[in-house]
Amino acid sequence: MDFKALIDNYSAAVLNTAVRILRDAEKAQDVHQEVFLEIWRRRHKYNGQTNWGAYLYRVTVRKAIELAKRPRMAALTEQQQDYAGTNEQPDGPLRAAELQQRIVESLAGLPERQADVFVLSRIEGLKAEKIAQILGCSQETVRVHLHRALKRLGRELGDYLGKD
Amino acid sequence: MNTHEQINEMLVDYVLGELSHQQLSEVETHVAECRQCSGEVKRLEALLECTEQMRELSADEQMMESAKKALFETIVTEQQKEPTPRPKVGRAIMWRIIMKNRITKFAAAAVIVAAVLIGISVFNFNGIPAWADIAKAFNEVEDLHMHMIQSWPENNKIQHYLLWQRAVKGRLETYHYIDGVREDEETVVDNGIERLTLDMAMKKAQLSMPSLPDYSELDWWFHFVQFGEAGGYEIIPLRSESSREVAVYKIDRVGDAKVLDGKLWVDTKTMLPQRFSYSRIKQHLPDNVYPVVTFTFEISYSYDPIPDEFFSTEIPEGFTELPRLEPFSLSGTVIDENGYAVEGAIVYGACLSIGSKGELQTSVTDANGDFVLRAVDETFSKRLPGFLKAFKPDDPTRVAWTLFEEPKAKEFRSDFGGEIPGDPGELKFVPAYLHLQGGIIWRSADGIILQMEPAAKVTGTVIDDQGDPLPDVNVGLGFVLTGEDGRELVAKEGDESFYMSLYMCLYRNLKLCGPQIRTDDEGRYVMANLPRLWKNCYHGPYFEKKGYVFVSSDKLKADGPLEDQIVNVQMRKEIEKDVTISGQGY
Repeated sequence: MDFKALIDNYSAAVLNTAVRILRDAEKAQDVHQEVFLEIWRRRHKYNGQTNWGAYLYRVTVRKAIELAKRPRMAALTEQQQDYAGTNEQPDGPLRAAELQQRIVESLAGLPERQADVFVLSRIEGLKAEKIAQILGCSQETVRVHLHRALKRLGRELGDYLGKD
Repeated sequence: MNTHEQINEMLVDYVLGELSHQQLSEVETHVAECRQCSGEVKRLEALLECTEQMRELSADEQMMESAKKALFETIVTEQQKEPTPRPKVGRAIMWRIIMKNRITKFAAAAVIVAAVLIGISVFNFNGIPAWADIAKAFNEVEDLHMHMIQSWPENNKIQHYLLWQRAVKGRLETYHYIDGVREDEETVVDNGIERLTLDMAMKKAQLSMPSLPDYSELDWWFHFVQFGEAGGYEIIPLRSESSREVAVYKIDRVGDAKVLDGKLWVDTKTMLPQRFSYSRIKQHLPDNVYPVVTFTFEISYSYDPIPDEFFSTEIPEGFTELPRLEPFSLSGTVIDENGYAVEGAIVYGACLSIGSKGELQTSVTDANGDFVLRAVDETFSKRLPGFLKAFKPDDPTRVAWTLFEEPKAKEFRSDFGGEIPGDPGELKFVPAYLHLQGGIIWRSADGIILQMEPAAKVTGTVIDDQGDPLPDVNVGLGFVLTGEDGRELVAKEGDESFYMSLYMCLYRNLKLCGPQIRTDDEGRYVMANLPRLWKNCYHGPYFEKKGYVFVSSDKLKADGPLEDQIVNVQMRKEIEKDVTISGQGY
């Protein structure tokens, strides 16, 4: 596959994953750019056996979480509010956006594998089997990581998720 | 009945809906009563709900278009980025032909210039200088500046500057590499007395011996590069493109077409070349990562006087001086199985070098079993992995050997199933040079101990398709590392060990059989004194004869320690003329 074809085939997937994690068009584009630029710079090093789908999932999730670690994003623009949620009560979108932001920030503090599994499972909505294939581990490992990530996020985000 | 702690551990599965029927009712009962657990369930549910909303997001058309546009713009900008020319660095490298790495390509270019410039055929018609005159003028030049840009697809480049001066016997060269991964710059100054190599990025300087005794003759320099006298070029003046001031020639290599679309511009007053451009096809070796690519070369020349101080080997300010690079040598002792010195053993060494110059001089042990091996060509860098073996010519059943590897190599390759014998002594690594394509540069080692052990022998006969014996077939035995599955290790992108697996590919360049072996008049060959390697490596023997192709052979049994065996081979004449095809037996 040549580089152009790679972009045509995977651009949307990379952007979607990035925008789901970052909820920010500009940042998602940054991730998109970094991911593909890196491949472009290293293009001579690939030998035609790459599973691009899996590879791109891994690097996109990593880069997006990296980027989320950087300083808190500024106030959401209108467009981002559109992304942030629909059909909520009047204060819904903003509250949801705030919570999503907290979740992603917390992800950056998780062990990488846990964070990856969490994103692929909860945000991307992938099945354990697919995640195991992407990350090159067993489904059981995926399950354990997801379990731990949820436990930990539930604890860390207690205040934002609502008190009983 | 499960305890609170056990139930609490099940809450994640509960919210994910992954509990069995029985577990479900148990958890529900508990949660209804337990404030802590019901709180956690609520939080987890809120978390899942929130992330599900995130899942709804997707990029719109506009965003996709703008992301792609931004990406392509960045790539175009990167492609256009060219290093600033800087021929006046005031230092540089000796020009040596460090051949083995990317520099080689440049050297090959110089070579072709040579071929073109040194009278190959003479044309003489009105207004266009004769070739002999151009060659003569070029060979009488006192100072030469050459700037070459070598490009290959997607804008990877090597820029090379050469300053040469007859009076000083000096050369100053700068190489600037730009590839998709990084930029490197290296400068070498050689003034015939000593050589200074500068790593421009790391600001490191290293002195060493001058590369070759005499650079005083420019044409000799070109001849040195070997192609010069080869001939075989078709040179046609392009009258329509030529003017009174500039004559233009079309140059093509006849035959194997190594030079394509060559064009040379010559100043009709001075008879000196101004510019030369051509393309060349090259297939990368030794790994399969790189495809066949076409290189283009753009070379420009000028002949202004160069100040002598450009060829000074003083360490420039701001550079750290590394210890002087001493001539390469490997020294040690050969002992027998009882630890006694072996006299008269032949010691053969090879290290990696792309382009077959990696063999070391062969040595014979003295009465103390001692040997010293030197490089065949001092100026070629020695790269790991390396292989050393010693044997008595009258005893085909014994061999002493060892393998030099990069320390990290063991982490990446499969276990051989045994220790590498011998004590390879202390290796020094040359700092700062880690070239992906060429392994790791290493230096002298001493105190190497090689102990004799049982050896294997592979013999056989090579016949042609008529059943007649084939003499003068080159026979060799390589060394290919395999994974647990018995297949050759191949570099995989995105893999942390990518670099190392590339490195692993380099083992196959090591010749276990030792110096060149050919079949005799009866088509027979003997490869004796072979190390009995272990598992996880195979040793495909190869058979090469110009004009012949490999047809079939007995399979070499090498899944455990190598045993004595017979491998008979059949080859047939290649239909196309003048093409060497090598065959691989398994």
